[in-house]
Amino acid sequence: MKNSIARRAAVVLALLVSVSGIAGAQTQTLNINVAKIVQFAFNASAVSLTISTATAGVDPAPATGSSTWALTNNTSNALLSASLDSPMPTGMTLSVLLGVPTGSTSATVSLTGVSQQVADLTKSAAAGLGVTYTLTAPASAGNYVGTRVVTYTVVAGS
Amino acid sequence: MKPSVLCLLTTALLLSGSRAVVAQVTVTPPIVIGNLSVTSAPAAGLNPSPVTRANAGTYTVVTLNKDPNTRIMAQLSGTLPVGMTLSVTATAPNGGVSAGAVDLINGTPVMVVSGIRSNTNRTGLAISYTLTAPASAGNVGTTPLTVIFTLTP
Repeated sequence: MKNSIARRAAVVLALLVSVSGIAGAQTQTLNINVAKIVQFAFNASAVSLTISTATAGVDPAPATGSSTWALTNNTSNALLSASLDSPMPTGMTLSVLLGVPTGSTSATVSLTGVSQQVADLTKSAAAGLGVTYTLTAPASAGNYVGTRVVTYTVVAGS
Repeated sequence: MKPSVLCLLTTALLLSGSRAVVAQVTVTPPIVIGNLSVTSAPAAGLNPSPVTRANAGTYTVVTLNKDPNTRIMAQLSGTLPVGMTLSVTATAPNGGVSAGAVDLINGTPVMVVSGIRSNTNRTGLAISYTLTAPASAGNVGTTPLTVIFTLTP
């Protein structure tokens, strides 16, 4: 019985020393925040589109021109829209197709003076994405020399 | 014999009391003022810039005569969105070695300082944090995260 009490006392001593060698944990709390970020930039160089040839009996061949753009987007389903500063002459069309990061979608859109959605963007950071413009001008639309400004706007997603 | 057993127990309690206040790490402030906020990318096409809070606080470390190689461990209590990382950098006391910027993991201690000598007693050692959030990781509103620091002999 005495030995038993002595052993218990020794165990108590060992436990007390083992748990008290290192003081308790310390904590520090910080608040993190990652804002919705949608940054995009189009190559500032002007794109020239010239229709100059046709096969006799067929409307002039469309002209295409390309450029690039870059995107940083950390939101889901950010919507990119485009519009012209003024409508095209009657019968002529100017359309755009954007290259987009994997997971995003885009489609060829005929631009007007009204803002139209051109892409649905997923979370990504990518540069050197393609932009292709196509100008069509059937013979009935006549000839024309002019400038158009395409304005892109984005609405961040969730 | 009973008095001798009581004497032994009393000795144990006294020893315990003297050890509990010696080896420790103390972090201040307990709550870092202001948010650690990622707000922009350096340019379109690049991932958002990491943000660093260089002076998020300080810590004090006290070691015992019998602790020749004490380490400071840190772990996260809380989950970061997939793809985001929160790293901590702790300045080491003389003789110790800082692990540099170490990514914190929820529920798993990682070493931030090692080789702390015995009988160390240093205050005002700097703590900094860096939050990295690539675009693919998305965004997150203000979220509190707790970092737990412990000493390991």
